[in-house]
Amino acid sequence: MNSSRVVITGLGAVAPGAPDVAAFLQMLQQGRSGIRHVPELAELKFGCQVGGIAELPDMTAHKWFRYHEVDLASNFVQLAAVAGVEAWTSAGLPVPDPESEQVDWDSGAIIGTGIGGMDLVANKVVPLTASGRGRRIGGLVTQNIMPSGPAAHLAAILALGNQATANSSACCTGTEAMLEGYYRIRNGLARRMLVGGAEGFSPYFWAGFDALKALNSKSNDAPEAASRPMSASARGFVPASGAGVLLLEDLDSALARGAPIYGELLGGAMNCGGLRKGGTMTFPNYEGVARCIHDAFRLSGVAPAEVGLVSGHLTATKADPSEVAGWRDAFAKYGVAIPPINAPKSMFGHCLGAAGALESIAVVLQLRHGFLHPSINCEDLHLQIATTVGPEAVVREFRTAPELRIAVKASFGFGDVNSCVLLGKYSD
Amino acid sequence: MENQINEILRKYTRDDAVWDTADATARLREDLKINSARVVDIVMDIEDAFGITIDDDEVDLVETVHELVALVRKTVPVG
Repeated sequence: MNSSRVVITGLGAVAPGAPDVAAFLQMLQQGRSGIRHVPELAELKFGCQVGGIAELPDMTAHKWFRYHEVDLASNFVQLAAVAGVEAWTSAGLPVPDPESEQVDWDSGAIIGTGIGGMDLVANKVVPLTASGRGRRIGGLVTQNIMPSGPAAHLAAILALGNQATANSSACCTGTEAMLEGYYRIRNGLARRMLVGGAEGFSPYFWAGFDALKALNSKSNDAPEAASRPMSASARGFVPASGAGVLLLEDLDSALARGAPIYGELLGGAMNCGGLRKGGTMTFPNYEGVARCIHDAFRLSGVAPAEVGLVSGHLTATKADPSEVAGWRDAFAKYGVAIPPINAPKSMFGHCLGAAGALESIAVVLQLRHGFLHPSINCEDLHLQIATTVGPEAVVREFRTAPELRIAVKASFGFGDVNSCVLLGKYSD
Repeated sequence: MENQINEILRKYTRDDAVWDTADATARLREDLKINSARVVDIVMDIEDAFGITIDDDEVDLVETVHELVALVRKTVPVG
């Protein structure tokens, strides 16, 4: 087994305003916003009344939906199932017959979530249990609220026999899942791993962020302009739901079966800032961030000069200027100027536990199709960013980039956690 | 009673085609393709429909439609 290279042979996305990868690509190329007014948030008197809500397609048409062990009762499990099956089938792999008893022992799934099935907890478990009717919550709750629910249901649909689990590290969850799958394949423990993250929609998910005043409450009348990373008028992030799943595969396996190869995961790093030196539950220790990026270069064997795109975490909070300065410093350490930087959240908001995976899929699509997507809504570029890296470094209009070979994607999350992956265009 | 129970079971089958060949000997999971986790929902619906309480241990022994009907028949008060 040649497990030294890990390639991406499948992509699946359900994002706000983009129900599949084809629509997601179009959104990125057009610089189109998927953010909209959310009436429920207005009714519930949220400060932020806009969001990115990933709409589910009609799943009942799929044969796998009729498999008896697949009852998808929470939003994050539903989103993950749709994105996971898209990733699997885009890799040229068949969805097995529900009647078949054959198990694929070489394939597994690590699908993380930041929050899990809180919609089901809030809508069903709490009201019934609190009113003394807990025994009436039915048979579907546990497997649809457990963080490993997405992996469990994908295992049921696809007869996965390798590791089927979940990870959780707030907004780093998606990129962390990618690295966990990468190492599992590199260690020869699996040939194929579905990796990524899923986050459902429920006002209950977002209430905590609204209470923290982390969400943008100033753009309720202009939803498409609400997510404003790197902008002088950025006033907080826009919450979103969604799921992103990538199929990672060892190169030999991919070549042997003639799989489409969408890109390569070159490596990466994860760490925690230890909640010291300025690091808190909600704000990073920048020494941790710098170490994470440095380790990602080192572990992937990528020279910073080879990197043609930075896909930032960039949530549209006051941390954006510091993040951009951190990227500049990370490259300056190697005597290299910062390459172009863009902010995927400007279009579809912050998908929390799904963000890292969806944004990595955005990077893979840019590598594969040779373009840089625009960061929308930063026409009023933050002065500190403009002086730190120069306005040209920020991709504000669609750019063609046929020479783009390698990109870096980072995620930073609550709990002072960091993760950073290097993604490349595949070439033998 | 059988019809009422069959109607409840139909709510939990995913594919109407399973009923083409189903009879009283049909097994809930293997033949009707009912999710193993939904048995508790089926029992709950039956309890509501007939105003009874079914013993959990007895439910564990049920595999077929016939056995389910027999259990309900046994549990429903006579008269």
